[in-house]
Amino acid sequence: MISALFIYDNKGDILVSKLYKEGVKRNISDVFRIQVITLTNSQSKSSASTSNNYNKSPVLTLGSTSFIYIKSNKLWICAVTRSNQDCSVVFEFLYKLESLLKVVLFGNSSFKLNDEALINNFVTVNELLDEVIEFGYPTSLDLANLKQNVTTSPESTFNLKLPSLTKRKSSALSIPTVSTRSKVTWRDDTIKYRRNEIFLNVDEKLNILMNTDGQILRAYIDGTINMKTHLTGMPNCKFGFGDNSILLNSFNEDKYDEDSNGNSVILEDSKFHQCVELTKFDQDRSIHFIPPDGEFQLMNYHCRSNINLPFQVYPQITEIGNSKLNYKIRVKSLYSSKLPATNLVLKIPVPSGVINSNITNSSGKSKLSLEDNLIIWKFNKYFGEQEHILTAEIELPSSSSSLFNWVKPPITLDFKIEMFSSSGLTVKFLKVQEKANYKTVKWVKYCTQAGSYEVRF
Amino acid sequence: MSDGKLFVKSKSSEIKVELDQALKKSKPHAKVKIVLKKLVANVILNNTEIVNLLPDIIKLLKFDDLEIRKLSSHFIISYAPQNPTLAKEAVPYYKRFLEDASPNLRSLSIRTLSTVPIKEYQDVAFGAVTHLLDDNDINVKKTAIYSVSRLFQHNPHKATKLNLIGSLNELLYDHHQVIVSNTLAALNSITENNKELSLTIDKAHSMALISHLTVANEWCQVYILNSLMSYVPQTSDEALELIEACLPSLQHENSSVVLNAIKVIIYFCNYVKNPQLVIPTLPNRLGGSLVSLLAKPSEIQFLVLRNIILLLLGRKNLLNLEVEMFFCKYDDPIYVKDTKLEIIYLLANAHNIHAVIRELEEYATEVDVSMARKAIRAFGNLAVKLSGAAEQCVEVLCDLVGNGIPYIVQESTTYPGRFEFAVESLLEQYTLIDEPDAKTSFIWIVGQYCNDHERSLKILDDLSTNFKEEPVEVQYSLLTAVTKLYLKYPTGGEALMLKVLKWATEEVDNPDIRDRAYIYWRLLSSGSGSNGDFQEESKQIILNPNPSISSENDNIDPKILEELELNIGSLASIYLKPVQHVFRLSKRKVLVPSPALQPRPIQASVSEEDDVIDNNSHTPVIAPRVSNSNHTAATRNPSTLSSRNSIISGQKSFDSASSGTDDKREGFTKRLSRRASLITNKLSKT
Repeated sequence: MISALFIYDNKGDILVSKLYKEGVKRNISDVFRIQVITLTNSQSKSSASTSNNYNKSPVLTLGSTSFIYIKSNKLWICAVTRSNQDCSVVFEFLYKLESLLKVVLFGNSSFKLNDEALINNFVTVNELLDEVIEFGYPTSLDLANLKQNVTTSPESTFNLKLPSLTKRKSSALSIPTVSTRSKVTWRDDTIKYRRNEIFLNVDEKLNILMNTDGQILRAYIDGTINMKTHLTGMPNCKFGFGDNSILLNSFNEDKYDEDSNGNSVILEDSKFHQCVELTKFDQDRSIHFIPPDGEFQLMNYHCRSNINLPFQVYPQITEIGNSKLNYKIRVKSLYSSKLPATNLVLKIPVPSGVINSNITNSSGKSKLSLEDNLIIWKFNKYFGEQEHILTAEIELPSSSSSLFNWVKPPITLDFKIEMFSSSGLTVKFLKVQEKANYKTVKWVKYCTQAGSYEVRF
Repeated sequence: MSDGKLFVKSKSSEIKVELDQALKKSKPHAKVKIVLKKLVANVILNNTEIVNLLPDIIKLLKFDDLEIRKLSSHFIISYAPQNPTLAKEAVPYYKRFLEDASPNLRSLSIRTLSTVPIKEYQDVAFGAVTHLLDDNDINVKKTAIYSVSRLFQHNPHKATKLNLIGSLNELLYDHHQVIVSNTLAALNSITENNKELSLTIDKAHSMALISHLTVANEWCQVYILNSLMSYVPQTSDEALELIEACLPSLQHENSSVVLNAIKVIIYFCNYVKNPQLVIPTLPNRLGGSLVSLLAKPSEIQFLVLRNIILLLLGRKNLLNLEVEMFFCKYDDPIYVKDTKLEIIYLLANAHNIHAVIRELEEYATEVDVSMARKAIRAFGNLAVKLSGAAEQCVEVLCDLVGNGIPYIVQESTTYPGRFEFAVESLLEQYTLIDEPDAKTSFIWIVGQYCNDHERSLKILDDLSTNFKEEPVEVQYSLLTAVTKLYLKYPTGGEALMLKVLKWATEEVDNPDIRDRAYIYWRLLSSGSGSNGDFQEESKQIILNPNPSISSENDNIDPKILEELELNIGSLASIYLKPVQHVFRLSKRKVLVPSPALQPRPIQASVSEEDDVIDNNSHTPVIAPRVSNSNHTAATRNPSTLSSRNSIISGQKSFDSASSGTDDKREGFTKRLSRRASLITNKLSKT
């Protein structure tokens, strides 16, 4: 499977180097540095266009050696394999490793990896990499399992160790490891909390593509249900959606047709965390699971019908002669007037080489960024059922051909609305059963964010 | 405390001093650890000089501290091979650890012993590993399992003699799924490098393995699913049962679980007649699960998209996809966009052509020039694939040409033969063309297609005014174009032709241009009037028919597709090339015949919906696999296929179809693998 694993910083210096199998030498890391990192760096320097960075396919095969890599922030994480290996396992592993490192180094997967954190914890990272892979095969990236086996502790406040392991004397440690005691590897049955809590977040990313008339060309939601559990023992959880929700896996087509005109929420292609019992779901659509401790993503889904659209944008852009452009952009919010969207940002492209501009808007802040060739229109808060207008006059040098060559990238929107689910999804119940029969405090939060929200003009 | 400042290259002499000082203290643990951490940094930084410290580090194993022992072992594993004689000193320690009460230490010991490629280490490992496979701690057992693979890698002969495979086989019946799945992974690593061994499992066991899926972690699920590829269903019902058992895994969040489940399902579909009719939801579920993986990061999307192409080429009816899901996002990386474009092309049919054309039109005006060019190319291909849509495609192209964006004009012109009626709109835009490439193609078009001779004369006349200043390639094409024009239109074209030839022969410095001009001149002057027909020979030489255009992907041989389908999700699936072409040494995977094995459904060409692709045209049309795919191909026809249903003769015809020369070797390996599977079978009965 994986013969070696390297992590490089932006310049191509080695931060992590691990060999798992015979067949490659440590200095094979140079090949990747020269063939990919140096090349990419020189390319992005020589041409300003950002697209060049993406030019390369994420797999490089030379002879029978392949380099499979991802970029995390500014770091390169690269796995080396020999012969025809399962690429899906490698990619999936690299991404899971990335988020594991974030959790271990920062205590939370929303941080970005950087070289400093890796260097400051290189011993832990090195040991971690010994535990997650055996002979090139990923075995387990579950924290519960790692806590048992990793002896060094990272610098961060996050504590990787269980109390029992702080005694370093190795011979005193004759207690069997987690997986020996329980059948599931992602949870340790000795976990105890004084206050049992469970946090559930419904996070939706809305992807919209509209044309000038406000007509929707493509609309779908990438939704995730994220959980944070502080629960004692081995709880059995069951989870259910509101009655109007239909979990669909292109499974029962007839039902789909009946309801598609109503207000039902249709979740397609749901994918579940490894702890969910998929056979039970397959039988009766119920979601049963024994959660891992701490944060995890319970499921993700797609939704393509009955989407609640939060914003409508009507762009009007007229060319006056060869060197002038008039913009009139109308934004209308369609959600309840009590809810605010936060950090609404509209990015309105302009041709390059603007020499004069005059922008006015009915609310918010706007400015022209000549670097990115964009008008940026910002609102800290934008309540529902409102409408605002931005007008702008842009002047270009009369001799330039930039208007002629302008390709009109779409207007993009970015925003976040809490307590709003654009799919209309509701969580109906979340049951926790454990032999200790304790009470659990449950928190549910909804949030909709812009994924790629684009308006063509 | 941060370890960051320890991450530097050091000299072994400095570290030695530091270590000696640390050891003098009454409680040396903390200091020793710091030294060891420095060593870890030097291993990462590939500083080979510190190998000198090997004897000192081995002595540190005596500390009763797991962290020290782990760090020391890390050093020993990395540097022992460079000094085997010294490294031997560590063996007694590890021997002792094997008996230790701490499971962590037992794991550490067997891992180190089996990894270091020195005889003394290996000997101890061989002696102990069977015992540790029965350890009561799961983690120790797991490490021991992989240690067997390591030992196999180092010394397959001895490993076979000690029947370590047998011991692993027994673990396949362990009650704990972690053990079972990791054993499968270990066996996989052994068999993939060993031509003589292969894994076989029986029906009951495969069902037992599937039952482990519910509690197994994501990686274990992958190993279990992958192992199902080793079961050859004997009846269609068995295959169906297994397909259904794998369906829940399509719901998994981990893309490798999903892709492996799809691989297994597609594999078992070979043993069911018309699986999409037996399980009507199958195409929707497969399609849906693939599409939902497009929410993953780009790299994973890319892999998934490549596999979608593979399935569209060979298993279109098992996959239900909507083309809209593959429309590009503005910020998709180029490799994703490219692949999506190919899928859009493959999915385009009479029903969705409008949406597709609208979308492609959008791409054609995109920022990224190469993307725009590809989109325009796709128009050309679509026009050919769906004859009904050709007109529409060309219309859009004409519109685009009308916009006058140079690269669009240029790219469009590379598809001449198909757009004869687009020439008109091109002609209107010719003043815009300034890139030499575009000029060249444009001039070529004028010479080749323009039937309005007066007009082309004027255009060529215009374009040739600067003849002497033009780049070489434009000069070439002008030369040819005026000659062509003269051949078609002798009265009007003569003056221009003479003018250009004169320039070329007398005033241009480039000898190649001059030579070509002379050739034309001589050809024309010798050809005239020899047998009545005007310039018959010159016409034959100069006015040649169009070159053909074809696309690479559509022509993949079914046999290659079949093997790629057994490798879904692997690296080869990215390249969509025969596995052995990319990875010479990889072990070949074949569909094993059984009474249930179905002939491969002959997939109608990608363009099944339209009745045809213009038979008259010379341009051999992209696509249909019916075409002259390639010589090694041995396109499979139904009759050879059905013969595969009877086991014995079927096997033979299968082999000979692949390639005659390989016959002998293949037969040999097959015999060997059969023997190996006998062993596995026997054990599985116990």
